[in-house]
Amino acid sequence: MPTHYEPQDTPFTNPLYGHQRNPTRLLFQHELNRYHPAPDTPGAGVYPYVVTTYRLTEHFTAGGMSRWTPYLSELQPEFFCEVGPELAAERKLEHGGWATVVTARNAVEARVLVTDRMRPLRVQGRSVHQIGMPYHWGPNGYSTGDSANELASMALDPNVHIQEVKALTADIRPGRRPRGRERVALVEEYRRRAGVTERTGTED
Amino acid sequence: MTNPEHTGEGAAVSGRDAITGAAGVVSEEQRARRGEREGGQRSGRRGGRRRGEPTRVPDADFRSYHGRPVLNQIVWEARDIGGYLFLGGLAGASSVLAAGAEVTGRPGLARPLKYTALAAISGSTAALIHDLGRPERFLNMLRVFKPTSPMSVGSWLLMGYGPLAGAAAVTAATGWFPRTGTAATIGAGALGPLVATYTAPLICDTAVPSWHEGYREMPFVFASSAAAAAGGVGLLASPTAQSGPARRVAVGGALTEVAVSSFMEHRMGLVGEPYGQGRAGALTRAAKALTLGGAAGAVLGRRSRALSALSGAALVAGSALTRLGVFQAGVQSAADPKYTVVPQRQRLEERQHSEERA
Amino acid sequence: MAADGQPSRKGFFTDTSVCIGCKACEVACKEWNQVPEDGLDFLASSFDNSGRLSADTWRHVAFIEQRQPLGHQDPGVGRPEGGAGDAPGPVDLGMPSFDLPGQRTGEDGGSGGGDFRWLMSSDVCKHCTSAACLDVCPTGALFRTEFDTVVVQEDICNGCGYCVPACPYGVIDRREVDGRAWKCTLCYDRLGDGLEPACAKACPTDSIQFGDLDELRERAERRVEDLQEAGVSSARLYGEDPGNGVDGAGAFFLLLDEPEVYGLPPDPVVTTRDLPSMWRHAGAAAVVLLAGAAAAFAGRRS
Repeated sequence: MPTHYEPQDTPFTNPLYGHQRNPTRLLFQHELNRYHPAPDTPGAGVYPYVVTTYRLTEHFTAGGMSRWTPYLSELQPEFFCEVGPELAAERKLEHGGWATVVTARNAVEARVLVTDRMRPLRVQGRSVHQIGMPYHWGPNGYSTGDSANELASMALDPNVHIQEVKALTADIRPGRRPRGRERVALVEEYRRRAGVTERTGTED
Repeated sequence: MTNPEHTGEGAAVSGRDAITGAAGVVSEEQRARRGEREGGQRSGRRGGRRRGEPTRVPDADFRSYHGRPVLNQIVWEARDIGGYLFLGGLAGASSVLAAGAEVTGRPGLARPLKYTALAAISGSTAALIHDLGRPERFLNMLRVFKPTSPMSVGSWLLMGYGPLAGAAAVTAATGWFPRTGTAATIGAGALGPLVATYTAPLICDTAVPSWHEGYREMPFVFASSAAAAAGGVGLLASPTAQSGPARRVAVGGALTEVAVSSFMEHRMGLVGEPYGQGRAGALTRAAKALTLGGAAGAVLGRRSRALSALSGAALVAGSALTRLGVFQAGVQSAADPKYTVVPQRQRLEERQHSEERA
Repeated sequence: MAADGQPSRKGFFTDTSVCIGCKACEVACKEWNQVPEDGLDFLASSFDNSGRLSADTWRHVAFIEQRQPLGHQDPGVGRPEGGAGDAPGPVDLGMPSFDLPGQRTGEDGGSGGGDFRWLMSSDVCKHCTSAACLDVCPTGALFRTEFDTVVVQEDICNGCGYCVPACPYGVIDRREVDGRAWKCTLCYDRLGDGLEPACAKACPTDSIQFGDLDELRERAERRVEDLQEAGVSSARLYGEDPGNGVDGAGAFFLLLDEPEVYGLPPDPVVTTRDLPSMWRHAGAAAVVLLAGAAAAFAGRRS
């Protein structure tokens, strides 16, 4: 029977069904694959925004081919995130500037595009902002950038083992991300604040 | 090749005003007005002026594509084309004065002016060729004669004038063929005024607002500036006994230039603004100061060679800065969409308004 | 074909109301004409990272996001009309709806109210009937082809750069590394073989239409009428009028807002129109200079 499950990382409790997430999903408990706290727990507010990933016309899948083509790379030369004006104001993001998006897995940096096309979601009587991220970038090629997939976790659907990269939660802050050890420290600081452990997110 | 208008970091604007694609907004006042308007207006037009309302200050309101200029930016180098304009004017006016000095028996005045004319026209041509993207192809200018292209007309004019100025200077320096030299001097003097003024249609025959709108006065600005410069050279290089006419031309040219250019800048209204702002404003003000100072010194230094020379130098410098100021004003006006959009939008509305009434 | 055997005038009609912003025109043009890549800069101008027409960008797709309606369209992303500074209401996901998209509009509808539209337009050289670039070119490199288009002969151009500030649309530019001026050729090399230009060929929605100019003009008139009837009151033609400032553009547009919103000049006039007057003024100034100098020399001894 059709039903609705929330994604692995979500700010909302399942409004339609008692069971929050798909009980048959495949999870991997690993140091580099921590999940986010459940929505009704104190740590959930550490990753308050929804991230949605999507494609651009100018690039193709992971950009392995399109990022090596000058004519395509110049049309979308840099990894960027799209945020609504309300979120930009809330987090002091500068249009055309840089932002760092952080999850329990990693922190990536992206240019900021402030646009009306990113609307806040209104669910269960509260407003949650969305961050849109195209996922075509990587460290190599004519056009390089951080990969949006670094933010996602490995939580696979049981049939074909596709990971959940289309919907997750994250925090966003202005400025470029730290490099090297400091980047790891940033991610760990967020995990500590959220109370993320190896068991977080593994419940139903 | 990076895009000069917008490199990423510099494009940063914050929060709500940074809606991508929103019309370019210039001031707080405009932002506030835009807020009221977005609530109501559907026509898509910034309600700057309704039909029948009195004309407001023109630069109050305009829309643009992400604040970007409409025109492509001038690719000429200020030093090259500004130099080309200044030296061409100096050459032409010097030849006119040299011819006058020649026929009225003032060799002490004629000789330095002939040398100046040759040096200046050579420098002007060299500057033009240096500015070409493919300098080795400069002779392609002589493939055609196009009256619609002031640069083409100028190239041919220089083909005629150059040898005359050259002959005038060489015969003066060597003493050979004096009668030919006199004829060449007079010929150069006849073409000189055109050499001094054709550069005005050259820059005005573009879409650059601060140049095009000044096309009526610009030739007079250039001619009088050239006269001041040539007169200045005469004051610098010739004995006071013979430099009288140069003094008169210098002072007359200087005063005319300052008067006409001030009038031009004022009459142009909105697109005259760059002449008073930024780097163009600084150059123009310095030019006027040097020109007027030089003119005053020229009047006061009637008997002093030293003061005359100083004044002459000031006048030459003032003339050079005048051209650089004009050039820079053009660059500034092409870089701001306001100067392209506002006058055209106004003109369009006036035309539509009068069509409706007709 | 005209009566004298010459091909008829060719041009573009770019109907921006169906442009989807795919930029296939930009890529096709660059591929066919071997135009160099024009800089990897993130411009933050919506999805436009090309910025403007230049020597290395001959088709430029503009993106404009506006808080305005477009006909009866409900894009579902609008903000309620709260004006500047207010935080507009978020979208109410609510329960799934069984209405057709766009059926529910307004403040109580699923969209949460407010207006939004995303204008996209592919800009190109206008191939003006009276082309300022052609008029001011001192080498004759710019010429008019048998198709009435304007083309630069790259073996003649010496890069004087005069055409650049002359163009009222900001189209032609000088290529820095090369020194010469470059712009859209309307694929002159393709027209000769009976093909349509690369951009028109690549355009998936036929936003870029190529053909005989008078036929395109007729088609455009009908399209504007259709759009107006459908409630898109902001639809208008730009550049098609043979009585305009450039005596009619060979590439004209159907726009959904004022030209300056797209980066186009509202009322461009070819600079050559004023040239006869410029020459007269220059001649007068030359006479004044001569007369002034003569007066300075007249009579006196010192």
